[in-house]
Amino acid sequence: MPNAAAEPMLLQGTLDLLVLRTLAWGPRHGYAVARWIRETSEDVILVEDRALYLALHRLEENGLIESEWGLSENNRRARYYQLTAAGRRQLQSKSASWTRYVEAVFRILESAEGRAQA
Amino acid sequence: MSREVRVSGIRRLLNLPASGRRIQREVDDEIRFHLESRVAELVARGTPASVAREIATREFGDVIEARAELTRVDQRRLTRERRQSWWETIGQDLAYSARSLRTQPGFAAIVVLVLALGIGANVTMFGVIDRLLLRAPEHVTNPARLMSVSFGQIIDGIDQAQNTLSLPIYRDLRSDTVAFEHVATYAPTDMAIGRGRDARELHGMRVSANYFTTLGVRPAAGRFFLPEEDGNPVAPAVVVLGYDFWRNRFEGSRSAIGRTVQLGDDAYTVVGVAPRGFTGVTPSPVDVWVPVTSGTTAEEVKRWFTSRQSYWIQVVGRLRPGVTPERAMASATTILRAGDVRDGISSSVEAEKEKVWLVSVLPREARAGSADAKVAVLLGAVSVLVLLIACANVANLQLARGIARRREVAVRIALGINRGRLVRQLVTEAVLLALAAGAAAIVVTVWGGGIVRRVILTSDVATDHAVDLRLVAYTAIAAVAAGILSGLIPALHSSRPDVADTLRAGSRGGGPGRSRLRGALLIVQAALTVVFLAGTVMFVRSLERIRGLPLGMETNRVLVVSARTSGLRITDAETDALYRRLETAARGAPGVESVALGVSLPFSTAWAEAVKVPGRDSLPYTRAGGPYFNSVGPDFFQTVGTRILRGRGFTAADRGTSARVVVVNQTLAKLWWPNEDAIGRCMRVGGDTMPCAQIVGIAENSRRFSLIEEPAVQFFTPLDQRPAWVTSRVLFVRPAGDPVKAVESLRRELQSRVPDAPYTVVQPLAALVNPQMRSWQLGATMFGAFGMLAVVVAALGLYSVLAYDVSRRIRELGIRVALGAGRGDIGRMVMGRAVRVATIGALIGFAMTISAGPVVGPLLFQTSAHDPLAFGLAAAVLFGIALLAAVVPTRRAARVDPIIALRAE
Repeated sequence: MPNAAAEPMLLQGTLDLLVLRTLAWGPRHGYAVARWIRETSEDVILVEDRALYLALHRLEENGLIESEWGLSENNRRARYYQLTAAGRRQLQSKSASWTRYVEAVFRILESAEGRAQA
Repeated sequence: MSREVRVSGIRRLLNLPASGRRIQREVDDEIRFHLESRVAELVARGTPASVAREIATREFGDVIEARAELTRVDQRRLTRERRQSWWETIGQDLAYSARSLRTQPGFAAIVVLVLALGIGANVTMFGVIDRLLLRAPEHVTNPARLMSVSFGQIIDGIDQAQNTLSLPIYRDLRSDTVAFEHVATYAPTDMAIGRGRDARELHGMRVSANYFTTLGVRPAAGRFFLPEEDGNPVAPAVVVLGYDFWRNRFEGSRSAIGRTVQLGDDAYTVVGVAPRGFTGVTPSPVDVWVPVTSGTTAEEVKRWFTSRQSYWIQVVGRLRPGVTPERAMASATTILRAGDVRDGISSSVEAEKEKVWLVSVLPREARAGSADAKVAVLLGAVSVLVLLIACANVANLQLARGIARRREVAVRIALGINRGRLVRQLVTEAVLLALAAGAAAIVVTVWGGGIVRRVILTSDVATDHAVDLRLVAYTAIAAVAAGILSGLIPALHSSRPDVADTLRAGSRGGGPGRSRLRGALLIVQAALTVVFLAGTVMFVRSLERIRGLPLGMETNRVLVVSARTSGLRITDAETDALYRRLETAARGAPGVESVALGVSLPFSTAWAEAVKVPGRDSLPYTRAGGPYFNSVGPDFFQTVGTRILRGRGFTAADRGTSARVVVVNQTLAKLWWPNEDAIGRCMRVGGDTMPCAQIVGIAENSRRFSLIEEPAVQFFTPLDQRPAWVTSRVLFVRPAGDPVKAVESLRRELQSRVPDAPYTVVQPLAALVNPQMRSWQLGATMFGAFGMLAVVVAALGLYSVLAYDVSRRIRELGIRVALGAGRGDIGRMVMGRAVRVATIGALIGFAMTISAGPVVGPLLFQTSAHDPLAFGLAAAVLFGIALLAAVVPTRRAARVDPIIALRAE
């Protein structure tokens, strides 16, 4: 089981980006989104489910995703979310800038290491 | 079929999370699904159920908190979506309405016309009431705490308040630090700018230096008066310009400050400019503001400040914070009484009857009791009725159209449009029409409203801009209200689910309920029409009665001439000489029958002077006080048309040096010598020390100030025997023809014959009286106009319903004819309906008129609010228009050919 100290801090907006990415392959319910993030990140990124749902509902409020009630794999009523056109655009622009950002962070970390060695 | 429609509506509802409770439930479902799925997954991996539940909950976080957060977010989203979709549907409705109206331009035009008349009447009256009653004086800070001061006595329980005070009383009130924070004074004054031929009259206002501070107003440029410019004992020649005057004369340039303006004899230095639209606490426009005592000498100012009974200024006081008007009134009353006793005006017993009244300068309070305001409010209410008639009429048209549109509506219902949406669309259509009508109404107001405002507001209220934002806002509200009012009932009716049956039944029909509703709307119109017509007759009769009042002079035959000597330093002798020259000039002018000088101008000034009769300790007076007098030239009585009942008037032989004579009015004669002949008696005018003046004639009573007033004790002396202190003059001229037409020619004549005279005003005596007839004039004119409108609209409505009825019943009528009904019978059926509507409408209208009696009664003059003539005439006109409206439909019904009628189906 993960403990709190091991959790890397989740930056503002990062969760939104992860949720949008998760929904990029098609409609999913909230539980599936949670499981996909946990499993894909191999338990590195741990999000409180409450925060995840809040992100989902806020994204819906902002018109980036929309929801509809449907039946789950085991025939239960579940709320499915899917990207809207605006959400898809948002995902594209945000993942590009996120990647640039991470690369920049990396460069700084690398160079700091290099100078320490020198 | 109709049930299916409703079910589909409900299903549509189900697709949207509609309520707060529903949102809550969905959030709960979502959370529960998540937790249960997680537990199931963990259990499948071999975790014991109890541990799995614990893990799932811990991973989730605070469930209660999450539930609240999620609900809040969803709620917010829902609200926004709803608002959005509301606007979207409004847009769709508007587009649909515009399309549908374009296919029926005739219908749209008639509705817009009818509503424009109704809204126009309403907006016009709103504009008047707004000016008269609602709008606070502009630029005045907290006008509710700024009080107009009036004073007087309570005699027999009736307030005898007057709002003109004297400077000594004003000075006393300024010492009342309990009641007031500031006390200021003002007095309107007509001044002339320039001299002789170039002279022009200005509306001036004399004000105390603290006037602007008291009102809490800031200058648009420069400054207002300084305390040392208060003008006691000598006023400096300084002036504050009115904004418009500044714009016109100095092009609104700041360099105007420090320049001079020639007012009367003096050049006044401009120190500041009042803000735009500022007229003080009264609504009449002001060109220049000068210190109270401007244009006079130190001696005169001294006299003004000592003469406690010379009433000519008005006073406003700003209440000290926390002081109630009642308490301020009590405090000011105490001060007034003390001052009157101190100055020997009244004994301490008499002083107990005296009182000060305070009323805020807000027009709704200051004008609350005035007949003008009451009539304006009544007319406002009437204009709402006009709008109601228009709405009823349009509703009727809409119902007729609704019947014609049954198929369209039925199709839309069958297509699954829910009824609420349909009603909304139909109402939107009506509102759209009403808004168009509102726009048209504003155009009407710009044209017609100017006339109405001139009739109602005359010159004492500034009427700068005809249409402003308040008016537009009011128009919009009135239009939307009218749209909903005229559209809702027809919309509800034509969207009834049973309409679906129409698809099968074809477009014939239109249930009996609908017909009854239309009948009811017609009756409402007829009833309101009767109310207007009866009101018109009552006001016209009041006006006739008031015009027929004996005034004791022929106001319609006389011109009055006065020279503006305010601001001029001229002596009494010079004034006298000036008026004698004007008199001579007027006598020589063509078309002048007779000319006379006087010192009091009826309806404007009335001088009073003490009189003693030898052998009498006291003399009786009416409640109007007095004795009032006028000192007049030889031809005065025939010039103004006051009849001498006994004895003689004055002649050229009654000079300053000849025997003293007086002419008294009927009231004086009767009151002082009840059972004797007054002629030949002695009166000492001015007190015991004065010589005896012999009464040589008795004149009929004439008015002092008002059309309706208590007769007062009044007498006349020859001009040359006037009391020494009288300095005022006025010239009465009786032209041979219509005085109104003679005004300009006389003015030109005087100008050329006395070129050095100050600005000279020539006006018909009637112009001084007419404002007092205004409320009745107004009632008669506006009721008349609204009555005409109501008649036209009601006739149109009745005609359209009858004509529609006949066309709808062609088949039935055809069958009746085929079965042997005579053409007369058929005609009588249609005519019968018109008569029925008129009869019921008249009866309801009578009842409404009678119940309005207590409101209308006090506004009438010597006319009963239950005037049988009014009722009779109103009913006659209503039946007239009902029959007129029925003529064409009746003829059409009577001509029905059974063969054609039946084949048409």
